[in-house]
Amino acid sequence: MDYEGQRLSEQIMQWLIIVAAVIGFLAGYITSSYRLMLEIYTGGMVLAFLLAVPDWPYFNWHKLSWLPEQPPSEDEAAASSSTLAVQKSKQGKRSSKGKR
Amino acid sequence: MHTFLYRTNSLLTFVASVLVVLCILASITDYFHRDSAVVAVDIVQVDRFQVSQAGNDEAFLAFNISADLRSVFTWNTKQLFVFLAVEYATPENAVNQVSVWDRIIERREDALIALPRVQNKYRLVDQGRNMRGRDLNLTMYWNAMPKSGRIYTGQKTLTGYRLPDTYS
Repeated sequence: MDYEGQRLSEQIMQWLIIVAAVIGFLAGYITSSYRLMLEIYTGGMVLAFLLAVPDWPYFNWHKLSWLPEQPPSEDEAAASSSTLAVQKSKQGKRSSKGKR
Repeated sequence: MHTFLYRTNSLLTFVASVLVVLCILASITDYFHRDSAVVAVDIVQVDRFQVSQAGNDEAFLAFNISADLRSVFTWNTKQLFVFLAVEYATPENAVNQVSVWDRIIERREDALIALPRVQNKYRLVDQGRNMRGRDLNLTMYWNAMPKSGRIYTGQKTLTGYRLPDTYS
């Protein structure tokens, strides 16, 4: 799911639940049936779950376009090897502390 | 919102919050409800009227109870607890309230009560010997228990009843 898909998912969920709550309240009050209100509301919840929670194709219409993979330059290679060296020295300190 | 479980959690949390709002709204509608309850109670007969072994006046009464409490029910009412209280004042106690009959009503159709002759379900005993020739009030109370919200209590007081002057 991409970022736009996440926004869409949240909006679908909130709107469906609010609309189900309003319809359920009015229908329940008019027919004077508390049960009907809860049934409509629960139906709205199930519908919102089905439409907004699984990773449907319509949540993936705005794929992020990453830069193509580039071969590492010499500077980057040097930097990565030096960070590795730092991590190794840290691990060495930790293990020596553990021995005491 | 980036995984299935995050979205499920977010949905359930929102559903619970909105459900609370729905319950509050439903209980607010009860606040504007006005019932038109009809209650009529007669003391048909004094079956027995005597001094109990403990030395207190005790009366065994038969009531004719008819009531229409269907209008008390709203869409948010779970059940009614209805009880009939005998109320009187004596030199010993300024206020005596004795519940002599009650009933739980769970459906609107059952709120139409017609009992031609019902004896007091709970004993009507005075504290002392002050019941002869005593004026009584009969009050019907009903607690409307909602599905959500607060309990409402209604009542109807009927006056002008009197116990006999002699034991029987």
